[in-house]
Amino acid sequence: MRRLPIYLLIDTSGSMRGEPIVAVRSGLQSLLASLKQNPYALETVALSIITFDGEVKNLVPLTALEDFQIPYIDAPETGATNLGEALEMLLQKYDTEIVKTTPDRKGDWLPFTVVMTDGKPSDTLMFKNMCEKIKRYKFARVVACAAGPKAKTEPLQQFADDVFTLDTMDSSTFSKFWQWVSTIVSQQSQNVDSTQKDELPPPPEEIKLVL
Amino acid sequence: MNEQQSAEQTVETGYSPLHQLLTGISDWIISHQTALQIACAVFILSAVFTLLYIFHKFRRRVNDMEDTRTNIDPHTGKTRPAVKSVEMPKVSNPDLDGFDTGTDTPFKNNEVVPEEEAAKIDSPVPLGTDNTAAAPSQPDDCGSVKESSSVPEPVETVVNEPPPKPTPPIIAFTFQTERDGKPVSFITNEIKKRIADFQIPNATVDTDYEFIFDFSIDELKIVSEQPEAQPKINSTLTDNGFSVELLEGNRIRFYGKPKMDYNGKIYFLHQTAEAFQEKQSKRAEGQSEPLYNNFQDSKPFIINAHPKSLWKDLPCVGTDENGNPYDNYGDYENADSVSSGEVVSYTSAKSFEVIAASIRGRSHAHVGKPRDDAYYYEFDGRQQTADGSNAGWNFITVADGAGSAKHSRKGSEIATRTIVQTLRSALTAEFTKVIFTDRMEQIQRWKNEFADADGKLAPETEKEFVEKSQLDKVLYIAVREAFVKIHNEAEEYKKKHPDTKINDYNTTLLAAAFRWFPELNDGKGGWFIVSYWVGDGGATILDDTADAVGGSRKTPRKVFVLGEPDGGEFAGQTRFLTMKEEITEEKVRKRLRFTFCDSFEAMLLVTDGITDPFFPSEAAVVDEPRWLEFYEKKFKGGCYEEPDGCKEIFDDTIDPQKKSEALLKWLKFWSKGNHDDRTVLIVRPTTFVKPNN
Repeated sequence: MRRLPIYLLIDTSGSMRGEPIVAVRSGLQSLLASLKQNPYALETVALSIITFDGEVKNLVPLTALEDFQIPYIDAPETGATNLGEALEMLLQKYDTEIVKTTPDRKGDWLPFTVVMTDGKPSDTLMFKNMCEKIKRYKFARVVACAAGPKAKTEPLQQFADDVFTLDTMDSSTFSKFWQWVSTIVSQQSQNVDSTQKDELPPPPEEIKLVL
Repeated sequence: MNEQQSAEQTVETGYSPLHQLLTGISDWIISHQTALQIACAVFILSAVFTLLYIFHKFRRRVNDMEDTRTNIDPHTGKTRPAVKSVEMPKVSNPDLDGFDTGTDTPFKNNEVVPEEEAAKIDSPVPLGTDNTAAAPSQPDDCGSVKESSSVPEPVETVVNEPPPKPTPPIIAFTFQTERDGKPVSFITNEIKKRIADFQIPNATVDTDYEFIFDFSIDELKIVSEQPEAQPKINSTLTDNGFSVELLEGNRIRFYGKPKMDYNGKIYFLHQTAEAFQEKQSKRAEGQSEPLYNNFQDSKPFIINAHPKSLWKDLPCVGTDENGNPYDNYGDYENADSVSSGEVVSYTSAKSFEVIAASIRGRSHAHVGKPRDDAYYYEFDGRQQTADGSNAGWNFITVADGAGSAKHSRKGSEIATRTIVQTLRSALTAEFTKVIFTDRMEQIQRWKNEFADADGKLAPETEKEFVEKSQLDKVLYIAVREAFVKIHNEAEEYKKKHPDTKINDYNTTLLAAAFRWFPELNDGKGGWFIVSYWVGDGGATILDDTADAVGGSRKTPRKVFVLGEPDGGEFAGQTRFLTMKEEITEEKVRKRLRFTFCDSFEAMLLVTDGITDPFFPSEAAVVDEPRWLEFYEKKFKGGCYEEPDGCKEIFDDTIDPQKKSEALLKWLKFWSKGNHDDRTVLIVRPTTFVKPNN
């Protein structure tokens, strides 16, 4: 069974505590609910969640959408934003979880990754190394989102295909963002067999593309 | 004495005023005990009632809010029309009656749940349906049915009243505890801990489900002797296809095949055998006592919709949900499904039939896009053989237009027709005589070599064969002709639509030409097959010579795979006929296969809509045992096992045209994640004779 793997990298640093993390939780709920209404997604999508603060956790390993259960995501009181370490884990999971095509086995579709952060990487050296390393990996797409006024877009542009900004971190903006992610994923699952990268569906006005 | 007196004095004076007051109060209490008890009871009861009333009001508000939110039909996504409220009949399950799972409150005194609330508790309303429609016709306790129509409808008060919420799923059980002959009180906490640790997997509609709730705790025994005390689930679960049973070792098996999706919680109700008995005896005294009322725990529980129910089947031409007309055919129409069958009375002794069918895949149907697969066949009856029978060449082909190419259905159509027609006009009787019939000795030598090498020509022989027969040239011309015709079509279309490219017509192609040569095998005759294959899919011949000649071969049945599939580096990539670099003599020769076979059970040409679900890899598509397994178990087996099966395909008394309709039915098999167009073409020997012939 060929899967469409989706990796969600979510910032859980101290600044996400409170409304933002609550909004992330409900955003994930709505992402999951709308993906489950899409037959393409329900048959092919597998999800994984990696959270990063001072510590990086693989909250859910790559799991088929139909078996997926949303974990409880929390943000500690304080904590750094170890995005570099999160990318390291992503690539490590890529190596171990993604099935590649061999003569004996049909491989997964190219994975899709969404990164969301409200700050800038604290582990700068590691981050720099990972930005280099990720170039050697094939992804269907890596979308990064800088949420809130303190988020920096420059670091994200070093590894992501598309970088977006959210000006505010309230739950309505977040929920629009995750809704939009579900539209992207649905489109991706629908067109897995097309060889070229599709245009992204237009984002809602709260979400701005960084050129 | 004095000393003694003074001591007593001290003692006496030890009674402080506070002490005296307390003693006074306690004396008073003792003398007014009964009256006080009554006062206390009245006070506590009234407080409880007030709190419950407030709580009930609050819940009503919360429910109202939730109901307006969930008043959306999960199937259509549209807001349901405002439902007129009707009086809900009290439908009670005597065992799970009186439960309210509206909150997670661990202790809830059901005795004071208002009547109206209680009525909602266990109404057998299937999850995810509009319960007001379903509930009123359910019989109540006494078996009578209340008709919703008999309820007067005072318009002003009932409109906009939200429908009652469906009852969530509940599992209930009764347990005994014992350690050293005494009940153990901490068990309830143990049970709660167990429930908290359960990892309940998601279920899927129409799919078998099983989960075992393991309560193997030393001092605990789940009661199962009395029917009423046995582990139970409520009607929300039974109506949705679930059952429950108690296994050895205090494990509750929860299983079934759900009918409707759900995303919420499942509730656990558990109580001690003592509590159960107390309720039983109250019941015996005639009190209406529910059997469970304590300790609620809950866990998330998800039943996924079956993807089957989510796929849409949209026509290629129609009106979209916004009322705008659309036409996805453009200039190239193609039927959603097509099937046909024909019997060929070949030589006096040999007849065979061709059965073919092609259907539009789910992924195309979901978005109203046309089918891109194609098949085609022709038989050349003009050629007379030495024994006077009709033994001309026969041509069969299937093609898969690329889903990502917008005109690929035209590409596959042109490819299949062109290759057949070009081959047919090239393989004339004269050509066949010069190349084959006049050189039968040499051909027989090739054939023997082929059989000795277990179905493969030695490279030297093959080279000689190719050079002498010139079949590589013939095939090259036919393949190039197919490419040119598609190219011309694209050029023509480009005049009106400047952005047209030949890639828009991308298609694979699997083609075979076969003929019976009566001269082979010392006049016993034999089949010769030449085939070409570019792209994915599969083409094979299931040889049954062994069966025919008494099983001299080591492997009882041989499968000849007529080429190799082309797969890309990533899933979903392949090679196409429409790629310029495929159109060279060298490339075409590489893709040619020559096969000899004295007798066959079936020839099969299929597109990747068939190979993908049944063959896990490209290596498997050239694996002979896999094809046997596919043919025997999946195809033939599927046809015989399904209640609505297609076994007529293997019945020689049935017209092949009818068989092709059965094949169409088989093509609709369900396979998760495999939703491409599907095409099958089968050739099989038959004794069928058309009534009019």
